[in-house]
Amino acid sequence: MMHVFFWLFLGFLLLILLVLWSHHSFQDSPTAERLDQVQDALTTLHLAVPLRALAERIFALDDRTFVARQGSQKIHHRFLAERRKLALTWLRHTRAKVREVMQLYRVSAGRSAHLRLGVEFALATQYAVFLMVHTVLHFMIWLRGPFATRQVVGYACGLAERLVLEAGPWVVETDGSRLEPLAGDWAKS
Amino acid sequence: MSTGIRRINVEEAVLDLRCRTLAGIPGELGRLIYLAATRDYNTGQYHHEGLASQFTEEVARGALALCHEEVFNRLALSSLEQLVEELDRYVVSTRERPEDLLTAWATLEPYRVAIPMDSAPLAAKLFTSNLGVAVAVLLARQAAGPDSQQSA
Repeated sequence: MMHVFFWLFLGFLLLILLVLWSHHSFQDSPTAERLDQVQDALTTLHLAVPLRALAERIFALDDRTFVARQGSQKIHHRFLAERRKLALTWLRHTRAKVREVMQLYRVSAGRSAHLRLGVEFALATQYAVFLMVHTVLHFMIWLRGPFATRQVVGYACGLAERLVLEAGPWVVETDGSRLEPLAGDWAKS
Repeated sequence: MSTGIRRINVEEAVLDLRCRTLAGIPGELGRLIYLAATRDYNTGQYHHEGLASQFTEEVARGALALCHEEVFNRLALSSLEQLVEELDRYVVSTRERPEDLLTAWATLEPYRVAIPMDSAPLAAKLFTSNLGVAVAVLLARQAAGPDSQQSA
């Protein structure tokens, strides 16, 4: 039994090392200007992920504080219910858009003769982490509401931005509109 | 007309619209409603007689669309407290009875048609949710009486 735990622990340690390595593998941290350029390009293909500014507004504590100060239970409940719905919608939109970009990226990268193995591996790891974080976030928002999840939301936004920054230009250059039907075929196979 | 010249004209038209028209409207919400009102309900096309006569119809439409999007994005990303202040300012500027206007807004939600056509769906949802709450807050303050008109 002990050897099972040993291998599990080793596997977990390896996973942490991979995640840390993948964080450092992307060449640059996303600058706002570079991200804006990629997002603008993706917008023309209807692939832009929801902006961080929107997430910061949805999960903003000052709004909750302001509503609580009004002294009306009815307004407070309405606000909390609507914000929870908005938070879950944001989560769904971000996940859907990143998934679309990554699907198209896989198709375009698969046809390229110039693969960057290290970056590909890092991207795959980051994407797996992104999906895990989003699942955890969904559960946290459902259980505790949006305002208890701000730090995790910030981390999820950072992950989405890095993925979009790395995979987005490939999708844009290869023309996403041509890739979309191919990505659909790939997803079905 | 080349793309470069058209872009410069749109920028000039935007500047003209901001300085000569929008600057005279108190508050962002007032400006949003004004800009939304320049849209044809059937076609979604913007039209402004004065701007179209100075530039061209196409340039005027571009400028109106840009300004509409700008003002909407600022409001969508405002805090709830700021939105309540904007709504209060708008109510005062209409000179209508606050209770009447706020009750109508709570029922009809007319601010939904003030959203630009190309806005991000999530931004639109956030805006309508926040404005609905802002209306409820001001209505509650009206009901509570003049002593609670100031924000808590």
